[in-house]
Amino acid sequence: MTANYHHKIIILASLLLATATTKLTAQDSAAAVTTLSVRYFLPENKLPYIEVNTKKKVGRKFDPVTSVPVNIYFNEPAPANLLGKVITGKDGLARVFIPASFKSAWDSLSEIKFIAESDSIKGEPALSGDVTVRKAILVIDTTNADGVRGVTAQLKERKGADWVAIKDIEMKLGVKRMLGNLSVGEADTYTADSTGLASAEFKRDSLAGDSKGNLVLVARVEDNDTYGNLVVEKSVPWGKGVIADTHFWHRSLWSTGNRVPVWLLFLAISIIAGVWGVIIYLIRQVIKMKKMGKDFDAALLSRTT
Amino acid sequence: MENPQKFSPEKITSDLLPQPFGRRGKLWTAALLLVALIGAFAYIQQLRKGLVVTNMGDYVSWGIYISNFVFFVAISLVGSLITAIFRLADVPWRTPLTRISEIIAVSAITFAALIIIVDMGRPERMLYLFLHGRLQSPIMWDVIVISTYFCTSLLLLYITLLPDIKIMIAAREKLGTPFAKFYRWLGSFWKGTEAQEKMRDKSITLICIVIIPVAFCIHTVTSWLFATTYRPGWDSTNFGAYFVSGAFLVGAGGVVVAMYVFRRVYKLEHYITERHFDKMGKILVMLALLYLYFNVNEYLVPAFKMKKDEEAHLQALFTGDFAPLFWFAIIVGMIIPIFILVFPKGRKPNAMFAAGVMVVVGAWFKRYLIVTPTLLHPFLPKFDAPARYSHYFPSWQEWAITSGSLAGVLLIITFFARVFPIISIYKTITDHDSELPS
Amino acid sequence: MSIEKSRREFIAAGLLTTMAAVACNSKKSPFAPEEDVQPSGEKVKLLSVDGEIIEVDKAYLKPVPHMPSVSNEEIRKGIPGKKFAMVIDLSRCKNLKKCQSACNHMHHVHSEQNWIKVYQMQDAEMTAPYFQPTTCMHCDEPPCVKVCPVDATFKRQDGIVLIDSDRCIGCRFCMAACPYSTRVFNWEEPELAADVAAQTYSAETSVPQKRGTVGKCDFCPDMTRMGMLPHCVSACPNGVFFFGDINEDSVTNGSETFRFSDLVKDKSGYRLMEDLGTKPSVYYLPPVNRNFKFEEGLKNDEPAAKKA
Repeated sequence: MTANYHHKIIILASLLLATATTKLTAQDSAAAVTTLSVRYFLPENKLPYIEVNTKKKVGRKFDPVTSVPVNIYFNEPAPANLLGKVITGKDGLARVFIPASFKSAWDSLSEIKFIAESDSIKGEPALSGDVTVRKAILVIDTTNADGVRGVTAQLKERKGADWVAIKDIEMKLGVKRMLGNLSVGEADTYTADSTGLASAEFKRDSLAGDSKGNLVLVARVEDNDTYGNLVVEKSVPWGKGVIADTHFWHRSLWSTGNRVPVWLLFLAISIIAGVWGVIIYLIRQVIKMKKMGKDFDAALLSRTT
Repeated sequence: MENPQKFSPEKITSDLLPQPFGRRGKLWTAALLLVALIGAFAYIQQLRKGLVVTNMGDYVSWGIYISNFVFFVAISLVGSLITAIFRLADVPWRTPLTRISEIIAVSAITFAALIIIVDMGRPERMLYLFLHGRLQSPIMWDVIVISTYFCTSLLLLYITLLPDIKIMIAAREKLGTPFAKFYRWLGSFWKGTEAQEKMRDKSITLICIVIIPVAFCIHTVTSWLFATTYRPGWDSTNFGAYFVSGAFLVGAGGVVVAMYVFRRVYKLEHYITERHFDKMGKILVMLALLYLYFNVNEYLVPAFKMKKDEEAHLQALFTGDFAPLFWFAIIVGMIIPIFILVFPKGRKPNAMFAAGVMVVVGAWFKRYLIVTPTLLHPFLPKFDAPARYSHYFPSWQEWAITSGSLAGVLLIITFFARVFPIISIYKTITDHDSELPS
Repeated sequence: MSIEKSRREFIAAGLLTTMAAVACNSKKSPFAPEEDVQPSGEKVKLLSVDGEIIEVDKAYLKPVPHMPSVSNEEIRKGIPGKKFAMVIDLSRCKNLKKCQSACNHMHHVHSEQNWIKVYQMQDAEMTAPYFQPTTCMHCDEPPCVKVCPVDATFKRQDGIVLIDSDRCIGCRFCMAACPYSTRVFNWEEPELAADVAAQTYSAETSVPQKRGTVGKCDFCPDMTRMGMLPHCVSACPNGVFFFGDINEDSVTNGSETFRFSDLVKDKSGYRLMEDLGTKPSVYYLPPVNRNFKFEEGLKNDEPAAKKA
């Protein structure tokens, strides 16, 4: 196998998928066609799950089709093989994990087909889709040769009782970031060598990590047509500790009303107190004058009586 | 000089006591009420539908409501000018002008506050200014300063009114009963005793000292609503002084107009004399020159540099869409009045009235020119916004509400003149006494 | 687009299962919504990849963990430890305005108004014209926030400047103060579908908008809370918009992720009107080495271009 082979396979697979879906729905390709896609995910080499996605192509982009009931089967679309019944959510997605009852079937097979089927509803044609994957795990590790840090990852397939590394697998090696992972080196993807090891030099020196400087490395295999989607993480103390910026809580002209700058508060209070002091003093003078008037009346009254 | 003819206090009192409206007065009041009601009707529409009834847009987000607000704040400064500055400077001929200027101040500042509420998208949330007020915002400063100025002006008006209330209570047979209770409630305690007089005198001096900086503040802070932004035409360190000088000019112009009208309507020729017009004319010409000076600063300096952001704005004013209005405001609002008023003949009542009207009208449009053209020339070009946002001409509702507010100011002044003497009777009598050879 | 979405969920689910299975205490994502997941007490037995049977609480298995509604107080503080920023690559923008339509659609902006404006700019007579999308700049010295009299518009610790339409009094001082012409006003009652109008208002979604109040680009904090990109970023087919966290020193347009500091250094990033001292959070990459002609972009203006 060559490295090119994978690119070709991806293109071929997507072409196949495209034709398959059009065939399935048997509709004019110009009209909005709802498709049902099935994907296999394995995060952290623990609990695999199957995700189905119902969507409709509108113009050049896909809109989710919501609330579609989908049955997901293990190997054969038979009631005994039902993994679960799901209803696609707001984003057109739904997922099912593999119940413990499938243990013997799972253990006996190294390649498994997952089939999703949906009955015709809401005027939509019946949909179906499937995905076949080989069981694999993804292993991430770090290297440190003469102070040069590196990240390595291996995709390992089940061979009997062992997990064996597979060569030529394309994967991403990144640092976990909030909205998208930052590749550890300059390349976007890394391909496993003939021993099945994908490796990358870590070139993100003094990248901000958590408060202790820990970074989370992420290795990912994405939409591989043999192995599906796998992701694994590893925390390493390679980052720079981020000290929370407290600037925001300072008093400033743009901060909230309860954080007025002291000089402004002082100025405002002294001016307001000064002027209103005089106004209140004047009002008191008026009241005093009022009292004087009353006293005057009283004096007048006492003089006349 | 014609003034101190030997009038007896009785004659002065009977000349200056408030009189019921005549036919003309009733007509005038009815007309003002009508305009104010149309304004109120337009405002109800605005409350129902929102500010969409105006022709403001995302560029011209402040329109004639705000320029009218600036105008009111400006004209209200005059109360402090005539009363406080003249009193502290001991200007002997100020007596017949003080109350006129004080009531102009109170009514204008009242409507300045109201017109700001009209401009708000959410007037029902006005209380938030106090519940959630942010001292960093110049609007908050304006709220504080305007309410302070309103209270101080009202206090000044009230304290100077006390002796006249006593006179009016005494003259109740002549005045009839309509306001007798009101007068008693306001000032029956005023006996004019020596102690009261002394206290009143000291209080007035104190208010006059306080009101001058407060008055400077209201207009300086109002100018800062603009000058604290980055926009061309507003971003100026000169703005406070520019606004205050303009305010003095329009205020003095307003007093001249009011003087003329009251003199004619109430036949006060012996009290507001040609000498007063002559003196006010000189003041007006000085203020017009001062304001012109600030205008030259405000436009010539940026025009000399012609910074990119200023260019479109200045060209719109000098030669573009706003040029007719701009030159009208400069020529009619300042230059022609200066030419009229520098000549002694121009300082006669009729010419002065014309000059005063020019100053006031010019000043109203000047405020519009300060607010709107700047907003039409933002830093980034006008894109991806409705085409109508690129122009501004007020809708009928805006005109109606603005006219209504102007009518409202005049109504307050009119009703005030119906209830109280527009020239202080007491002060006129005492001035008169002191001027007589002892 | 939906692939992007499920990929993000994939990560979220990854964390979930890690937590559930390993009872994770090692890494706490600064952003982890999963920390809010309350165990339901209902357990299910699931199969792991190597055939082990693992008991997991059902609550951890939800594809998108239920986001607890954020209180106004929390909204005003923002997300601790974050400092959001945007990088707009002008060399990629060809005036498709997908950002604008996605933004308008998601925020139910008035049909004639836009929160994102795509300007046709030309700095000098002899220089090349280019398209410049502008969002709110989310300035670090926001002139709009400075002038707000009632704390209706405010800056959060994550750098985002928001408007609370329940607080705004509609004085429009902020509109006058903003040099970027970014703010729009709801002059009339917004025309909203019944279900949109019935939504509970949140300053983070800016929906539903309210008459007599100011609106503007909000950097979609409701999306970032879910670990998703703002609508304009994901809508742009040319990857013009990069969004991320300066504290993490990373920005992404969904398919490419760059180290923020490298990107703005290598490509000579700049901010608009730097001389005003507003310190925007939006950086621009100059329109050099463009792979299309300006005139091509002009064709993308709809015939009834809403151009002033």
